[in-house]
Amino acid sequence: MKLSEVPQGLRVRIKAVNIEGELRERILGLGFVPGCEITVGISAPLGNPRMYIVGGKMITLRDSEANMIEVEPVGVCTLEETAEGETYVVESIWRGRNFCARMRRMGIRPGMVLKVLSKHPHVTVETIEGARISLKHGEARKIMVSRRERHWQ
Amino acid sequence: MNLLMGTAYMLLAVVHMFKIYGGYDLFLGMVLLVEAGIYFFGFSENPAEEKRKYAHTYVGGIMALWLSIYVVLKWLINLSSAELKLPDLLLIPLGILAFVIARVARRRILS
Amino acid sequence: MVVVVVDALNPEQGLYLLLQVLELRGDVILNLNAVDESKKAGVNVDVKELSKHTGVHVVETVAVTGEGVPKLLDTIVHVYETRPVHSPVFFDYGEKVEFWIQKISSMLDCSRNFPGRWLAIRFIEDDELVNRVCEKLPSIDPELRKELSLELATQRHKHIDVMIREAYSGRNTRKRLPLDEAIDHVLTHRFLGIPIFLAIIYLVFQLTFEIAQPLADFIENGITHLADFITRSLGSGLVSSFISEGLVEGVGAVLVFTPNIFLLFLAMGILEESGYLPRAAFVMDRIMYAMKLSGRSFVSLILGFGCNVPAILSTRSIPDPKERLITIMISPFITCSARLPVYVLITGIFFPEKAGTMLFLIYTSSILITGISALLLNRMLFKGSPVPLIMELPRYRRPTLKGLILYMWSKGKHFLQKAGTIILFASMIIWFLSTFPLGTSMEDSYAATLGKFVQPLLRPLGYDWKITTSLIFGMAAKEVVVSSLANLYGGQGKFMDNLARELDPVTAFSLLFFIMAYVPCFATLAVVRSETGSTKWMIFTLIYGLAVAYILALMVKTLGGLLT
Repeated sequence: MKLSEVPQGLRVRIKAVNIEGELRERILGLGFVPGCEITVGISAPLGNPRMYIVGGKMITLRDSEANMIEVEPVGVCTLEETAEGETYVVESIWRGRNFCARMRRMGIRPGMVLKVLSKHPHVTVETIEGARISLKHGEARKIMVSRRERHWQ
Repeated sequence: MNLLMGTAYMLLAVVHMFKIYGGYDLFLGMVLLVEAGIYFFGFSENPAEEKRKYAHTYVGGIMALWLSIYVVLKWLINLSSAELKLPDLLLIPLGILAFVIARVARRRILS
Repeated sequence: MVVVVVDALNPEQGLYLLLQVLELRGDVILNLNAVDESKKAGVNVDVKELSKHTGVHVVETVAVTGEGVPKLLDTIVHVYETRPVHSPVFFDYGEKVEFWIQKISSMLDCSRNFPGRWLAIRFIEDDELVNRVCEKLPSIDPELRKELSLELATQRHKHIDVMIREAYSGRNTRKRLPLDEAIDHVLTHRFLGIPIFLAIIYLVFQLTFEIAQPLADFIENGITHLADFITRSLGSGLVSSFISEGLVEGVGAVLVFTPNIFLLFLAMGILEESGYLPRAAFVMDRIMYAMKLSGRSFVSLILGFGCNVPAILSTRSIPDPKERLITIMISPFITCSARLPVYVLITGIFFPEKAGTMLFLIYTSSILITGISALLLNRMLFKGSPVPLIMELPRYRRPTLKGLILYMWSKGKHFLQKAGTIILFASMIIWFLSTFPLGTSMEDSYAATLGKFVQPLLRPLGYDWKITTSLIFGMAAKEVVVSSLANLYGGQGKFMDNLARELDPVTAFSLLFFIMAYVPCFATLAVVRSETGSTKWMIFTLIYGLAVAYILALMVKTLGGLLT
């Protein structure tokens, strides 16, 4: 996955930095080193430069540079693997337009924040508006969620 | 609170932009419109995320204080010629009020 | 000896630099700065632990209040006097890297006295410097080099992680401060970000030009009175003319700028110290990227609408030298407020009904030319590679009065010293050209002679010697064009009719464009020189501006001729 494609708020681990030339040393020195974990911060109003939280610092990168950094998301799991009582963000819904449409009808869409209330017998989640949704375990396995560190924007 | 402050600045912005009731500066009107926008967007923020609302109140308050300082400076420099117009007269206490509210919002964000 | 200044709250990057410096030498002091902020955030730093890990003296300071600075100075003296003989602490970069460092340093043949290990590391990291100091370079597989340099960076970060884990306690430094997050949320908001930026820039603009104007007028009045006083008390001889018109007015030309400059730097100081300026660059970057610049230059260019001098001075906040140079070179094309009287005069005479439209046309084409010039210069000088935007966004801080005054004074002083002397010199030349030969009217002065001499060059554009002379005077300051036109075309009252009779509208319109783009005023040229640090770029600006103006005016003239 390219760093520029990662949605906002996600934590990722850097796999490779494919930038050449003088920029390379600079980016490595700033902490974009393979194995390090960084968080994707907010983007500029017109979308392009984005902030990345590296260590405690905020570094801005244009997509043209972030394109060349390979990353893998950290902390993304299926809804089935979540812990009770914790809050998660829906990142993506797996497979099948019908399934996606059904989930949307139930009120589950990517980007929404939900809290896992209980996992037995069904996976019961509560949306930020207070609505409760019950899902079968098979359905929960098809929903990718992550734990968001930031709630800004 | 965001809605209230937003409306106050919106009114002042309209006064300046349409040059009514002693308003005189189209551009200052637009700046006030932005200031109102900060509060309005804070108001329209998701109610579940209170800190975001406070963020708007906080930044809006600081901007408001600067606006008041700007108005006072402009008046001081033209002391001999210009009297303080009504919209400016309102802007000064409003800025101070906004700043006081911003301090409260700041405490809420930090807590 | 080297002092490495490290931000106490976010030490990673500073410690990275420290490790790199320690590869080179051992007489290093680590200065942990802004410890007040880290304490306030609930972060505890064990200085002894850091010192143990790095093998150097560690001094804590708070630069804004000056706390700890005497101790830092003492330590500098101490380290200098004792000259630590022990070699720097050795940081192990892993088996593989160390193997290659050994191997490469034995192969490197260097006449200068640099540590072999350091040279080998620089060689792995592909530093130009090694090529310059070493005669013989070993060849290395580029893939291996890439792998090693990556490993180096990784290992350095690992060492830093260890240091921080051992020396830091309390709040996690990797979490952002809540207040910063809140401010960033609003200032870079999807819909509010750009309007807020424009509103702030408008206020800065007002502060620099509106609020400073009465002060500038006050100084100008004072200068005029002084000049009058000298003329009255010394009579109307050559000496008095030199003192009052050459010297005093020349000094006045410098002083008139002072309130604007100082207030500009006050405003810029607030924006920079508070930490907003990098955010502004972040917000506006996308727009400037089209010109292959970054958001940083936007602030400067906007200021150019008031006056090009502060615009160029404000490029100091641009860290990338390439970008800074291009911004300086294109700034003069932004139509400054001094050009406005000339536009108003000419549009008023020739296009009284469409004055607004004409002004709009001039302003938009000035922006267009600025953009095109940016692209052109980028292609010419830097082969079209865009300026990268990799910057660290600092924490928000409340600016301190002391810091602001220091900022304002040091930058304002630079303007007075460097640009001031050139402006003074230039106004003396103008005085000389318009006064000599003695006892003649303006029509026979050297300036007029010069105008007549240069005029054939401008004949294709349809300008006569009077316009040419005015343009030459306009180099002192663009608004001078108005008064010289008035003088040369029969004095106040009559010159408008005379101008309207002698020029056709198309020529007048092309003149507008010529005035927009030709030589920036002397003050601007002076700051171009002082800011770029070379006369070469000043001359380049001059010639480039003239060429653009000429081509533009010719185009307008030909097109206008075809259309009418």
